[in-house]
Amino acid sequence: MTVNRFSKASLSTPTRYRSLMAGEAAMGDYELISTTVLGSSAASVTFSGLGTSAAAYKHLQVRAVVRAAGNSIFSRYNSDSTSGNYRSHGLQGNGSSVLSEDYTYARDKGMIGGFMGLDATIPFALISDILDFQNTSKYKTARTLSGRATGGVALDSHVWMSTAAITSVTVLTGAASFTVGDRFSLYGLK
Amino acid sequence: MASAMVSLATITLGSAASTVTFSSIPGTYRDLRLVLNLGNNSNTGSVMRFNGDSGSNYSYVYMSGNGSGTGSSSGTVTYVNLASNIYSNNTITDTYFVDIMDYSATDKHKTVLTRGNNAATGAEADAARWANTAAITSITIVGLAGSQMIAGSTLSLYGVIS
Repeated sequence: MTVNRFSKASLSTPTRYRSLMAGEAAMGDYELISTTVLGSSAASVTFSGLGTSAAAYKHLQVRAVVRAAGNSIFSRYNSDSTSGNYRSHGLQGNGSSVLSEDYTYARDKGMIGGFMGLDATIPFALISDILDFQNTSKYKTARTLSGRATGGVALDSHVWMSTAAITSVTVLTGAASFTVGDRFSLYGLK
Repeated sequence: MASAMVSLATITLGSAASTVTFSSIPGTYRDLRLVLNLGNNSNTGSVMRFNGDSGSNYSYVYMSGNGSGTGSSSGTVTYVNLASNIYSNNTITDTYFVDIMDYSATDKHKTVLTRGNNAATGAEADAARWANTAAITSITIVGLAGSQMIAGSTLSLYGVIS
C-alpha cells in the first residue's frame, strides 16, 4: 500500500477551516463571539466563559449602541470591582472645548464612554478594543472611541491592573439601566 | 466561524468625482465600516449622506487637533460630518475609518463614529447622528462645497456581521 504525505507547500494561499464538515465556512481573523440585544432593561451585560469561547483570539472588541438616561459606561473584567484595580484617562470633545480627564471616580472599573451622559433618544455608540486579553504576564489595556451627537465624543483608555487572563467582560452603566433594544457585541481578533 | 468583517465593495476612482454612492446595501449585517483614503481638488474635505437624504437631519460633535491647538464643535447640518478639519489639496492624504452602527435597525436613529487623519492638517474624532429610523440602504460620499475627490482615491465598504 502506498502512503502519500499531504503537504500544503504547493498552496500559495491556504484557507483554514475549523472542520471539514460540509458547509463549514472558512475561518477569519475577526470573528463574532456573541451579541446581546436587550429584551428588558438591565444594569449590566456580561460576556462570560471567554477562556473557552475566545481562546483562539489575541484581542477582543466590544461594540455597543445604547439609549438610556444614565451616566457613563464602564467595563469590568472577571467581576473585579476592587477599587484601585483600574485607571482611566480620556480626551473629550463636548462641542465647545477639548478636555483631558483622569477619571478618578472610576478606580473600580474602566471608563469606556458617556462622559456627556446618555440619552433616551439619541443612540450612544462605542467601540472598545481590549488588547492581549489572555496574556498572564502583563496588565490589560483597552482603548475606546465613543460618542453621541451632539453631546460629545471621546477617546478613552484604561488599564486593569491584573495579570490574570480575562475570562469575562461586564459592560455596566453608572446610573439607571440599559434599555430594551440596547445592543452589545463581542468580537475576537487574531 | 466565518470572518465577521465582510468586504462589500471597493471603489478606486479612475477620474475625479464629486460623489460616490454605495447602493443596494443589504440589511443582513450589524454595522458597516467605511475605510476611505481620499484626496480633494479644492483644499477641503468630504461628507456623507444616507439614503439620498439632503435635509437638515444630521447632527454632529467633533474634537480635533492640528498640531498647534485643539478644537471642538457641534451642530445640525445636511450631511454626516466625516471630519471637519481633515482636508487636502490634490494629494491623497485624507484617511477615515467610519463606523455606522446598527445601520439596519428600524427602531432607532443612526449613530456614526469617525476617526479622520491627515498628517498635514490634523487628527479628529467625530460622533454623528442621522435622525431617521429607516434602515440605511445607500451611502453617498460627497465632496464638500462642490469639490471633487481626485483620481486614485479609494473607498471601501465592509459589513460587520451580527
